[in-house]
Formats: sequence, C-alpha cells, structure tokens
Amino acid sequence: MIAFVIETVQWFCLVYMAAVNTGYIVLSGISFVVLGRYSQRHSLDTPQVYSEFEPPVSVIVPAYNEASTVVTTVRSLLQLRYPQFEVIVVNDGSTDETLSVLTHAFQLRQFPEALRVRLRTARVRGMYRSQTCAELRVIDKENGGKADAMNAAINAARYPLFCALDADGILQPDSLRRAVRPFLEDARTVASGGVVRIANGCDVVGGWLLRPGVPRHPLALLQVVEYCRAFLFGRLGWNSLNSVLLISGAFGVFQKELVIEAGGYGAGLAGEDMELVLRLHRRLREAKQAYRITFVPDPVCWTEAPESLRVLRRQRVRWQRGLCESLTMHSGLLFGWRGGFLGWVAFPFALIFECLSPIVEVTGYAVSLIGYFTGHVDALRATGFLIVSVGLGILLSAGSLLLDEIAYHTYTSPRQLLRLIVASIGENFGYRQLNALWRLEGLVKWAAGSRLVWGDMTRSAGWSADLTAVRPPGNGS
Amino acid sequence: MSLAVLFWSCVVIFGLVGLVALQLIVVHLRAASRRRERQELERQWLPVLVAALEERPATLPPLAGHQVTALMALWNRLYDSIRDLSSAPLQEIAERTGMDAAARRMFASSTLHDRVLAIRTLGRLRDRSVWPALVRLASHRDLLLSLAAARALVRIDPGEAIRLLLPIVAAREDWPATTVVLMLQEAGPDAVSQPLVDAIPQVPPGQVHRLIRFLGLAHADVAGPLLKLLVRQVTTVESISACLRVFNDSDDLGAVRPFLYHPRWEVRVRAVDVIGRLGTAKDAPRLIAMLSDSEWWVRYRAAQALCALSSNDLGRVKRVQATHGDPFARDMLTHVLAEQGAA
Repeated sequence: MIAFVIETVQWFCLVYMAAVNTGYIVLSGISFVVLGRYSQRHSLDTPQVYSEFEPPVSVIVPAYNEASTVVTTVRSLLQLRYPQFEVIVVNDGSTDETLSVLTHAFQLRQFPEALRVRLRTARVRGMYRSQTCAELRVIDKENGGKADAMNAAINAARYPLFCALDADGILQPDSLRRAVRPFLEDARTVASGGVVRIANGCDVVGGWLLRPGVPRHPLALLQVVEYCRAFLFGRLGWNSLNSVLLISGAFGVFQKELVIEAGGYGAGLAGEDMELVLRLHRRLREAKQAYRITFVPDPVCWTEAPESLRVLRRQRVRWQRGLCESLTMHSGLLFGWRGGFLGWVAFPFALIFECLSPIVEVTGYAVSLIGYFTGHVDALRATGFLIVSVGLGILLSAGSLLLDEIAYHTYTSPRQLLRLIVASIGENFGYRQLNALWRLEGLVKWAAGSRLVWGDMTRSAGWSADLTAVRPPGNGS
Repeated sequence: MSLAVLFWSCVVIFGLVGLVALQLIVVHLRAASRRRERQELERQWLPVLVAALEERPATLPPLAGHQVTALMALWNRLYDSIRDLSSAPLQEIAERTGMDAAARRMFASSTLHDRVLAIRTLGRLRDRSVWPALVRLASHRDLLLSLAAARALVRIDPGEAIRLLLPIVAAREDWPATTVVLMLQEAGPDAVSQPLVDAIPQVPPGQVHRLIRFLGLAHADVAGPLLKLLVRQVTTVESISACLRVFNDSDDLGAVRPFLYHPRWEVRVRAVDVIGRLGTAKDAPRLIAMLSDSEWWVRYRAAQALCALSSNDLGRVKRVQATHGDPFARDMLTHVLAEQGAA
C-alpha cells in the first residue's frame, strides 16, 4: 500500500513537473521572439518620436518607516527625464523619522490643500509642499497600510496617469518615459509595468544609479537570477497574450480614472497590486471594453532585496498569500464567459503552477525522502529525477540570463556574468526548496485565514552612498 | 520510468544547458565588443561633427562600411540637439561619408530600426526621391513608421506636406497630439494656417476636434473667423473643449459664458479657463458661483481664474474666501491663495 501511494505521488509529481516546465519553456520561447521584436523596435537611440508628448504623470511613493531610503528614492525621481510629473510621497503613519528626514532634505512646509477625496482612506493629518522642488508633495496620514496610502495619494494626484513605486525603488532617468510609451502607442492601454531588478551591489549615489552591479551577498545574488526569470520569462510571455496578471507594486503605471472607478487599491490585502490588476481585467472584460494591460520589458526599477532569511521568508509568505487571495477573489475570471486567453490559460496556469505548486513540490520532496528511507524508492531512480529537476531549473535560469544579455547587456563585466551563471546553478540546491517551504507556509496561513502581519521590511540601503552630500538635481540651491 | 529514459533526459537537458551557457558567453563577448566599437566611433566622430558646425573639416576620420549605420545614428542625435543652428555642415558630412546613399538603401530594409533611421536621415537631407514612398508610409498602420514618414515629409516640403497630412491627422487616433503640434510648429504658421482652415470643414464631424485643437498654431486672423463660427456650431464635448482650448477673442466672450453651465464638467472647466484668461471684473460673480461646482477641477480652475481676474487686489479674493457659504469653495480658495503665496 505504501509503495503504491509513494509511486502514485511520484508519478503525479513527475507529470506536474513536466507540465510546469513545458509551460515555462513555451513562455520562454514566446519571450525570445517578443523581446527580439521589442528590442529592434525600441533600439532607436533617440526618443524624438515621443519626447515632450507624454501625458503628465503623478509618481506615488507610499512610505512606512522608510527613513533610510526615502530621500534617495525621491532624489532619483526628481532626476527623471520626463516632461511633466509630480512626486507624491505618502508617510503612512511611520513611527521612525521618515517625515522629518523628508522635511529636512526637501524643506517641506505644511500646505492647506483642498483634497479631492474620491477614495476613502485613513485620516490625512496634513499636506506638505517642498520649498525647493515644486513638483514634490508629501501627505502625512494615519497608518492604514500600503493600499490605503496609495489611495490617499491617488486622491491628491493631479495627472491622468499615476506611477506606483516602492519607497526603496530607484528608477533610471528614462524608466518613466519607457513605461508610459504603451499608453501612447496603443490607446487601449490602461496599465503598464516594467522590469524590477535588484539594487544590492549597484553603485547608487544620492539617488543616481551610477553602475549596475551584482550583489556580494549570496541571498541577494540568488534573487537577481530569480527576478530575471520572473520578469523576462513569465510576464513577457503572458504580455503578448494580453494576460499579464500582475504589475508589480514596485513599479507600475495606471490610468487614474479607471483605478478610481474600480474602487482604488483594496485595503488590508497582502497582494494589493495583483488584486487591482485582476479587478481591472475583470471589470473591463465584463464591460466588454477593449483594453491592454502591458508589461514593458525594459523600464528598469532597482529595488533592495532582503539579505536576511527572516525578512525574505516574511516577504515570500506574504507574496504567496497575496497570490492565493487575489486568485480566489477573482475566481470568476477562471474559465469565464469572457475570460479569453486570460481566463482559460493564464489564470489556470497561475492557479495550478504557482498557487498550488508549493504543495506538490514539498510533497514530492517529502515522499521521495520517506520512500528512500523506507526502501520503497530506488536510490538511482530518485537521483535521476532530482538531476532532471535541477537540470530543468538551471536551463530556465540560464535561458533568462541569455535573454537579458541579448536584450540589455546589463552586467558588463565577465566576472559578473560568471557569478550569475554560478547563481543560476546554485539556486537549485537549497534556495528553491526553501522557497517552496515558505510559499507553502503562505498558502497554509491564507487557508487558515490568519491575520496578516506585514512586519518591518528592514532595509540596509547599503548599496546607496552619500545621501546628503549630493545636491538633488533641480534643487537650485 | 526506465533508467535509460532518465539518463537520456539528463543528457538532453544538460546538453541544452551547456549550449545556452556557451551562447551566453558568446553574446556577452559580442555585446562588449560592439559597445567598445560604438564608443570608439563616438570618440572619433563626435568632436568632428561638433567642430563641423563651426568650420568645414578638411579631413574626416576613416569609416568602415559597417560603421555607417552607427554614424547615421550619431549624426541624427546631434541633429536633434542643434535645432536653431544651421544644418548645412552636417548635410555636407552626410554626403562626404556616403550616408545619403546608405540611407536610401536602408529605406527598404526589413528592420524597423534601420528603416526609421533611414527615413529620419533622408528627411533631414531633404531627399525628394523618396517623397512618394514617404506619402504612402505616412498612412502605414505602424505608428513609428507613420510618424517618422510624416516628419520627414514636413522637413522636405512643409507646405505640400501639411496639405497631405491634415486628413491623416484627423483620421488617426493614435498620433499623439503633441507630436502633431511639433510637426505643425516645424512647418510654421504660414504653411499651416490656410490648409488647416480649409481642412476643418472637410473632415467628418467625429474627427473635427482633432484638427480644431491645432487652430492655435495658425495665424489668428486666418483662424479667428472659423473659430468664432465653430464655437457656436459644434455640439460634441470633444469639439467644444477643443474650441475653448484655443479660444482667444475677448470680444466674443458671450459665446463662451453659456458653457459655464454645460452638463459636462470637461466643458465647464475649459469655459472657466477662458473666463480666467479673457474675462473682466464683471465675470467675478460667475466664477464665485463656479467655486461650488460638484467637480474638483472646475472649483480649482475657478479659484485660479478668480485670482487671475483680481491679481491687483487679492484682498477681494480673501474676503470671498472668508465669507463664502460653501466650505468646499472656502477650502479651494485657501488652497489656491496659498499656492499664490497670499495665504
């Protein structure tokens, strides 16, 4: 009986592994074609076709206890090459020095702004304007979570598009311009998101990304490969099928009015960014409105990756909860009447191969180990399965590095490339399994309905130097 | 599953891994070499191109055949940055390096990058030989190609190009208005005014607003009479808004005031803008009433307009702020007065 159960589970895991990897290989094939076309189309070295024609954008930065990074982030935003934009920082009831460092760095003064309240939020304590940078405003409000902070900023935003950005995000000068491009190229575009990369190991001075680099910390290094795979394979592949399920909260541009009509960000959710995107998909499909939610492969936002297992675990548990929550909240999209490719392929793929995968992965490992120790699994065969599984993991990671190299050549030194190749092999030995465990924890916590605790996302900002010595561009002082 | 299948699966997968790793290294080395070559070309040619704006260079650095495209990109980049200077020296360098012939060859390229680069180059060289092809490309469904072709046409012959392009401007939803503004500005009001006034009555009613919004770029004496007529005739929100956006006749404000009470806020906000720009003290009570509009933007613009009308006496606005019965209106005036530094 035990042997039958073990064999059945093993076969199930094998079929599952074959299906999930086939899915990713197909997505990677699509990504290679799409990225090739995209690179050719957008390799023109002058942005004259679009420059100065872009609609104004409100860049929104929700900040909760981000005193160590928020000034750098705002400085990087103020150097954006974009014709007209404003930056709205929301101090979401921080208990650290977030508001005071902003006040000091940008000479904030309280301002009697007549807020246009269209989304309900926690109480706004005050609005501030910078005396040195006219385009910077700060909202000081009581703590209500990231979604609530985003909604408060959307209320204050003046422009038709808003860009959601994490408080530790560093944009490149032309990131916003590239993210807005889909809105100009296709009037049906309602949201666009870009590639997020790891800032650890990069040279960042006073909000300027001087040189991309590869982190020294092994945990951050593994996340570089992981992000590369997630953004270049997954989202790029789905993008060509108008089935992008997630625009990262770290960097995404949205049509403000549409988000307001949809009710804004859902407060109290673990994955408010994914939930909003799925809600937009659902509403627009129900309204039979032609639309595009676009992933742009090259606008780059650099963000700090956790370098401690404790923080990384918390982040992954939260992401998994967010995924489960969003998919169940919008299960109506699954095989729906107007689901299209999204409802019939992308949504089931996310449900079966992303949401439920930790159960299969962890069960597969556990059953193999049990079978091995009880003598029900042939050691040679088990090793063979393991090698095939690891080999497929390495193949996909190396493929994403190749894709990145063809399109962007981000990491210029051969030593950096070598370290990434080593990381793409190394992540299969322990890191992937640990991730599966954390995701399983997230799934269990979501199923149990346990209370969501965000916890502090401790940021070291070790990659960022000289925060005060560099004069912010446009400061004029 | 037999061990043989597992073995061969491993061989295939790791063989693929090896191939991908090898390709990764080759691509990396090739990209690094291309980057170095581009930097070298830029190091040699950029000073020459910049110096050529002052004085004709006697000799030019050596240029290999495969470097012409990179030089063309650099040449266009420099062109973009010298809007007000004479472009003749750059044109001469293009001819001396054979860039014009290369651009004509690239014009039919299957690569979008090369094709757009060639179109931009030939437009800047005012090469009439590609005019018919550019006219066809201006209607191409690809946005980049169509816009590049349209701009090239304007550079070659502004007057003729504008006549040809205006129906396309009206028909194409995907051409950004600001791009069109840039093209029309480049052509100049002499080339734009009459063709624009002639084109507006010809286009279908659903497209007319796409042309009306550019009337501000035409000579006022040519566009004015038509605008006066249009503001009384058009009925769609887009067209009324387009008219109000460019409305500039203070003697004809009577035609604008009724729009303050239009059911759509997009029209009301434009009307408030016009009153703020062209109105007189007599309009102050109307603007004070607009401070209680249900739409935030109308209240905001009304407060700004009120401040603009009373710019010499902000004390009056402060009195309105203190006595207005509507708290939304008071908040908005407080906001706008603070923006003006008069809080």
